[in-house]
Amino acid sequence: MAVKSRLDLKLSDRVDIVYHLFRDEKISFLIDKLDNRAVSGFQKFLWEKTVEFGIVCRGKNFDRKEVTRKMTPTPVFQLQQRCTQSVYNCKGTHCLHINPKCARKKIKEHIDVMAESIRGYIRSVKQRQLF
Amino acid sequence: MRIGEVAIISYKSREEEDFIRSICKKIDIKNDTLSFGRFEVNDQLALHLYGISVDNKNNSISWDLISRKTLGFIIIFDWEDKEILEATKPIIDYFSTNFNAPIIIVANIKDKKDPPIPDKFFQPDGIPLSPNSRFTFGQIDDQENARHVMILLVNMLIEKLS
Repeated sequence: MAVKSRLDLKLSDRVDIVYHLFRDEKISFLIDKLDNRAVSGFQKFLWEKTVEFGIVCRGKNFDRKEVTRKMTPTPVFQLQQRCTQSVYNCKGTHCLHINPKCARKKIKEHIDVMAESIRGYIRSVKQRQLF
Repeated sequence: MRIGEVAIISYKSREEEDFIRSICKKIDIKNDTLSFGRFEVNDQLALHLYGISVDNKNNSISWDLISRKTLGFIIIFDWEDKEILEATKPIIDYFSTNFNAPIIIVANIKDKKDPPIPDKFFQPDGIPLSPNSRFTFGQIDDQENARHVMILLVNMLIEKLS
């Protein structure tokens, strides 16, 4: 089964994310060493884990809006950055290649929100387990 | 009898031997580089478990020859040892980049009765990292935990075929 494959985010980086989350540690700094493609993969992977952990820990009570509502709305973020691009472009995927500094700033905020949600789920399960 | 081969890999720690001992009753061959155990599923199928402790000396291992027929890779690291995790990362990336077989990353914990993470995360399916890989916690010198890892690998192989 010797086949070359390439993930947008390396497997070891994915392990790193899981490792830090279970240790209740911040993870947004991890993107500093990554290229743009991997940053995009990081964001996607973390969102998948947010939903997955949310469902594992909260079951039917999980609502993805409880995570997204903590993120700065795109129009507000654009205003803060004095960005004149259309709202559609501000997804952290398109801008990542033309204005990486700004896109990474937005992505880091999203990562902090998602990671805090996951850490919160883990903490709540831990606390429930103690009683 | 058909034989399936599985590679159990760790960095310098010999945890792969504990894992093999948990699955097979004994280690049949053991030297500086390799340990080997055999588990007979029934009279038609046996699993050969090859334990490899990787360190800098092992750089010359011909993985492409060893791994050609491998059903899957189980990569173990000590959950409490960040340095080991760092050293294991290149191994993880090597196998995920060069081979198509399923990979299970096992975070080995010392005592499953006092786990560092909530029970809820000892999921039998592990945590998906990619379509071809899972992350799981386990006490690899515990027979039941090691078996769960092997069952997870078999399930991943079946999923891959279907």
